[in-house]
Amino acid sequence: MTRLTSADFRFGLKTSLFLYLLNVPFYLVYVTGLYVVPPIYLAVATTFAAAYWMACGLYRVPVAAYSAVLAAVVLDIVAPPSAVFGYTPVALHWVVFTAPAALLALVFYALAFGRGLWRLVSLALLLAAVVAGHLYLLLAGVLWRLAVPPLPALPPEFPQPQDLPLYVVLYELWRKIHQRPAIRRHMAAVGYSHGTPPGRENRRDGARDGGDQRRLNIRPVELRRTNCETT
Amino acid sequence: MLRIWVLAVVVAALALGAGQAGAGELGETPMFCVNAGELGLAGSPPDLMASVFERGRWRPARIYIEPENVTFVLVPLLTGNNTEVSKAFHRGALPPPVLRNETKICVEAAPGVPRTRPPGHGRLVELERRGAKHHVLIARAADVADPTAFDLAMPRTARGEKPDKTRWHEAGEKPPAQPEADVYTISLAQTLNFWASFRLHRATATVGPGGYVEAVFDLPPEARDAAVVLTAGTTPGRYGYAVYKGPVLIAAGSVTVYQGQIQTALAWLGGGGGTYRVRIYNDNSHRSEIYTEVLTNVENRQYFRNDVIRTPRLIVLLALPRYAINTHLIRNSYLAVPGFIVDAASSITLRIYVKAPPEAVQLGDRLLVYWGGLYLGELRGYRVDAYTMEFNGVVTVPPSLLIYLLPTKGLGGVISVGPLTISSPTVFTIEVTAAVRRPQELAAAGNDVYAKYVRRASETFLFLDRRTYMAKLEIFSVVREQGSERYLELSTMPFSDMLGSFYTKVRFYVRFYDSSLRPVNIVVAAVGHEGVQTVSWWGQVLKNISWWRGEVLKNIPFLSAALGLYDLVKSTYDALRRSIQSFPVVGYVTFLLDSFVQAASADVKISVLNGHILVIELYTGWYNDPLTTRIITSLDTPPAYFAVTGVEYFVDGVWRAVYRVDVPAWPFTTVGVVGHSAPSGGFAFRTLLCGAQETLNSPSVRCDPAYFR
Repeated sequence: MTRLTSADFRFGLKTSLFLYLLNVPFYLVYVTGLYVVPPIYLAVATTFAAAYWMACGLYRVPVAAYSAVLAAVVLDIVAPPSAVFGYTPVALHWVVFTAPAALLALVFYALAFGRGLWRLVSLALLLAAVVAGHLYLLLAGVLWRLAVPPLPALPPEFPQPQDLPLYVVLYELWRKIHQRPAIRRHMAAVGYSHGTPPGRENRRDGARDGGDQRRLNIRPVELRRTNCETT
Repeated sequence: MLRIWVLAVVVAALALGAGQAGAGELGETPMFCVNAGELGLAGSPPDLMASVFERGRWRPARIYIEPENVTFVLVPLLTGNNTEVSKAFHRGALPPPVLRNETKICVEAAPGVPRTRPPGHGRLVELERRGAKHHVLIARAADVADPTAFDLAMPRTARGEKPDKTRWHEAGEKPPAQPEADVYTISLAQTLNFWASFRLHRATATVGPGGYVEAVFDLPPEARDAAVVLTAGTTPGRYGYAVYKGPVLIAAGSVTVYQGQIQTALAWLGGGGGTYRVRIYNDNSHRSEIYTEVLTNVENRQYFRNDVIRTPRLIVLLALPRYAINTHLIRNSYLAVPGFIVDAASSITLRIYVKAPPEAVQLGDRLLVYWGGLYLGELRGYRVDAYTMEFNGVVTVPPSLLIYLLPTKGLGGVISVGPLTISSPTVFTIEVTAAVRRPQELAAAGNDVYAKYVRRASETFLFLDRRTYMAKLEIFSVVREQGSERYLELSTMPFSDMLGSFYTKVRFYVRFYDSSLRPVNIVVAAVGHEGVQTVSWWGQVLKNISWWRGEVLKNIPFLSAALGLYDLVKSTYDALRRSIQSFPVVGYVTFLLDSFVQAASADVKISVLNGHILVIELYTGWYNDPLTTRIITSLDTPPAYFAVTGVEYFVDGVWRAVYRVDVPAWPFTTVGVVGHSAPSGGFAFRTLLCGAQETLNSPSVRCDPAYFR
């Protein structure tokens, strides 16, 4: 057992702050009554995954996915599908089409880590992290709610500011599960993380890593040192 | 070529002229047009009815009142903030709320002077034209003793002769007041005088020239009167008919159906039970659509049933539609609330609450209430403060109007309140609750028909706040020797082309009582329920896949029992929409009965509160399609009554209470007797479950047109 330090929660804190930042527009449209039907929860769900990758210092894919979802929310307000298709047997919202795709893209983004089978391991571990995180929120959420009341203006599906500690732990859980040493090693091999000494990865696959970096638009490793690095 | 065009124009002009022709042009009794002032009717409300004395009896006479243009404002379309406002405004025509001196009234008049007492209290008008004397009795709807002898005034500009001389005097006696205690006493069974209508399924068809349709129906021995009625949607033209009671021809003749007529009675058949056979001939040279209903007045012992149709308190912001921007003011606007469907009633009571700015109320402190185009009565208001006027009152539908409301199942189902002046933008509040005291079946309590599933009561919540659909909770019950079986069914019926039903919840609180009105404890909230069902395109696809078909058919029986009536209402309203433009008729989304699928995102939750209150909560998910679910509840003792004591709804993140009582509050609580004594002989036809008459060998819990008579 390793001893927990405040450094352990830096990642969780950063991710949670990203989470709140990404949700600001959704808080606004909900509180103003512009968008109150459940599909907006799909948009909120994508922010959970987007915040994780952004906290890792990876911006392009999460921002692209998030922008698509945000655009769909705005479009739902100004020109909902009913304005195009008229009365439909089920209620359609642009978010219903966009958000699941965005969410899938953000989950499958885990395939970008590692090589060969390790990509699949990365995906599997991220999925495991999501499932574990969900169970954690279900169980811890109940106890937490006993002590901390929800904000009445927001539905329970939205991340609420007073629940910050809950989300810090959630993302630490994600990190612990997803960023296993094996994943880290392979992440490092493609230049994502620093679980292994810098010299080794460069010596082993330098040229190819550079290729991966260009293909995936990966920015220099150093930027991410404080983000996804684990102890 | 030119000659052909000229000929075509002449033919078209003749055809149009014939379409507008009054009776005078068709060689029947002449039509006269006079000003309301000449009849002393200036200042009177427009609920006039007319009757003439001819061939020894009083018969209905057509009467038209020159209408004025009005705007109906469909309330549900204005409750959200992002709806298409222009869709909410429906141009129509109504008779003036108060007849003016110069309002033109055109009325059919018969020659001669009547020799018997008129069938109601009114003005006996004598008209003289070129030395020939004619007469007609004009009465207000509430003063009519025998509504079958009268025709109701329709808003239309008709043509007719101007009489040389007009005289009138008061004649006839007012009908006795309705016994009210009878209506508001709860009992297992009591004598009820009611009107009911049902479709003649086999006489509703498209017929070629010279062809005919034929149908058979039965009336219980307690029937006091009955009529075969052609309803709106029937192609205008001439129709012959013959009605047999058993082997005996009791009525024959022909009638003309005019354009825009709500209904045309073929014949009044008098009283008495028995088997009737009706044959309707298409005497026109074109194919005709025929919609036939039977309307009957019965007085017999009935199990108690009181249905309620209610809206929440709706707040509407009325801004001007685009076409009115130049006028900045719309006079003669009526707030229109859809969803009021009735097929049988003994009495109908409306409770209406309206809040409006005083400057918007055109008649000072009065608001008039219309159902379809029918004038029902007025509400008196009072000023709350300088900016608000409140109207809170009860309007009872005059019994003489029931014969106009029932064959069309509520004449489009829209209740309107006005006239109002809309100066942009104005906030209004409106709430309408309708209590329908009605029979459970045509047959008297205890007859054989109660050994099959019969609808015992129904509560309709009109979800008109940001969404538009009906949520309907019904109880079906069957009487057996050893007790009764029952189930509850909850279904939604969205209005077509409106906002839909998506992402809402509605909650009903239901209580059961024993025969001395003590609450019955609920043992298990839901012994069984099949989940929520819907129909959709994927259901249509799946039903053709063989392995799925079994799954689908398994679910049909209970589904069609509750909703069979609404397929019929839909077809009635669709026909009405095609032929009536003077008031709004709202359409419904309904089902094909054989393509149901599980509604994945919809959900029903059933729980028990305090041991004796059943709470049923339906979540509509993303569906705008109709939904339906059935619930069977286990009780510790057999119940005698069922009542809906609460309604709540959830939309846009907020729960709102509509109605909540501890014990039934009269008359605005749904109450039904859920089966009592075991059946013993009698009238063997179920009539009011599916809207058409069925024999007792038909499927017990479903509406199958193959078994309709």
